[in-house]
Amino acid sequence: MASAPENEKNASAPEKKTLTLKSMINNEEFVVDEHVALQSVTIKNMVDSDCAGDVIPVPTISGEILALVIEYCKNHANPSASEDDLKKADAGIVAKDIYTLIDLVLAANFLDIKGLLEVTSQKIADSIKDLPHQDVREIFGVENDYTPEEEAAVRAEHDWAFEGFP
Amino acid sequence: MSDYIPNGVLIEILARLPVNSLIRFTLVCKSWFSLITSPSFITKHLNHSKTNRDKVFLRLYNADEREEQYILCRDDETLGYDDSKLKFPFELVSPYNWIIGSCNGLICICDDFYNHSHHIVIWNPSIRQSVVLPRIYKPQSLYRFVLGFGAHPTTHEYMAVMVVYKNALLNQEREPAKVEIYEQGTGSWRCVRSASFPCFMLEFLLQQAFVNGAVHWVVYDPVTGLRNVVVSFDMGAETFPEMMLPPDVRDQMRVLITSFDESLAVFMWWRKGHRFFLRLGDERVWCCRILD
Repeated sequence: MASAPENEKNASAPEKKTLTLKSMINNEEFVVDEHVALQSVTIKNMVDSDCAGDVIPVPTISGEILALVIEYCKNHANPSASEDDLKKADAGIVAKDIYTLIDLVLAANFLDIKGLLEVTSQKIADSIKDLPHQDVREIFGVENDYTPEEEAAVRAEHDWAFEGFP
Repeated sequence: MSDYIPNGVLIEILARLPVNSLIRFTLVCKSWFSLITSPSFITKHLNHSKTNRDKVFLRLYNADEREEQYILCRDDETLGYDDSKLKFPFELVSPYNWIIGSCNGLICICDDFYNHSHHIVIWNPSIRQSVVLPRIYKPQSLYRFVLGFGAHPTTHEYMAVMVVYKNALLNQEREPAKVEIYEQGTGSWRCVRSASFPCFMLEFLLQQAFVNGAVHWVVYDPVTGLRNVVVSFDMGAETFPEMMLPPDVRDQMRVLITSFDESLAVFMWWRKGHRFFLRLGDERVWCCRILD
C-alpha cells in the first residue's frame, strides 16, 4: 500500500525538462537537465526572459570545455553529494594543463557560474605562483612593455622577491 | 591588459596569489603593475586573505641570541614553520619591542618601554617595507603616551592614535589627556580637538584592540582607582565613546582587551581556566565563555 502513491506519482510525473547547449566553436551539442544548466546565471537569465530556444548556442566555448562545465554543474546539482565528494570532484575537473584552465575560467566567467570561477581561479593561481614572470607573460599572452631600465628599477625595489628567479 | 582575459577574471586569479608572487608579477607588464598596486586590488586581496587565512604571525624572544624573532606559522596545532623567519627592519633601542596592534596586515611596533626612545614603526612584513613615524615628544620628557593603531573605517588608510599624559599627573588627578593622531595620507601627527579624552587613565604597555573602526582600551579612574570602563577612539568620527566592562571583570588588575573574530573581547586569568567575555558588535552585550 505504502508504495502505491509513489508509483502513481512517477507515472504521472512530467518528463524532465532538458536544454540543449551547443558549442559554436565545433558545433558539439549537449543535452542537459534544465536544473543542471540553470546553475549558469547567464543561461538562467536567457530562460527566464524567454530568450532560450530549443538549442542554446554557446559562443567561444569549445565542446571539450563545455563538457567540463556540464560535469561541474551536474556534480553540484546532485543534492546527495557531500561537501567532501564535491571537493574531490572539483579537484578532478581542474586537474588540467594551464591553457585548458584558462579556457575553463573564461567559460565560467561567460556562463556566470561563481563556484566554478572560484575553484578554477584558485587552481590557476596555485599553478602560476612559483613561475617566473616571463612564463606568466607567455601564458597570459601579454606583451612586455617595460624597457630594460624600467624593469631593472622595479626589480631593484623588491630584489628579495626575485631571489632564485631569472 | 591581456588581450583575451577580461579584467574581472584576471583579478579573481591574482587575488588568490601570495604577495611575493604578486610582487614579481608586477613585471609582467605595466598594466599588471597598475592593477596589482591599485588600492582597490589591494583591498580585494586583503579581504580574500582574511577569509582564507592559514598562517599566524608570532613573536618569539630567543634568549640565546638575545633577540626577538618574528615568524609566520601554520595556523593549526603544529604551529609549524619553514624558513619564514621575518627580518625586522629596524635596530630598536630596547631588546623587547612592544606590539601596539595590527590591522590589515600591518603591524605597529614601539620600543618605548621606559620612556627612553619613542620609536614608532609601522611594518608591512609581506612586502618588507616599513615607515618610522615622526617623533613629536622627546624621550625622557615630561610626557608619557599610550598608543593605538587601526585604520579609517571608510578610506582604509592606516592611523595611529597617541594619548598623551604629563608625567606629573600620573595617578594623581583627573585631567583630560591630549590626543594626537597620525594619518597615512598626510604622514604627520595632528591634535584632535573635536572631542576631549575622558578623564580616565590608560595603563601603559597594556593592550589595545582595534574593532569596528575604533581603538579600545581598558581605563581606570586615577582618583578612585576604579577600573570598570572601556574607552574607545572612533577613527572615523574622532570621538571617544565609553562602555562599561562586564560586572565579573570590573576592578580586576589583569584585564586584557583584544579582538576575537572581529568582536571586542576582554579576558582575565581566573583560578580555573580563563574567563573570556565577548562583546558582539551589533547586539551590544557581553557574553561569557570559559576557555579550558
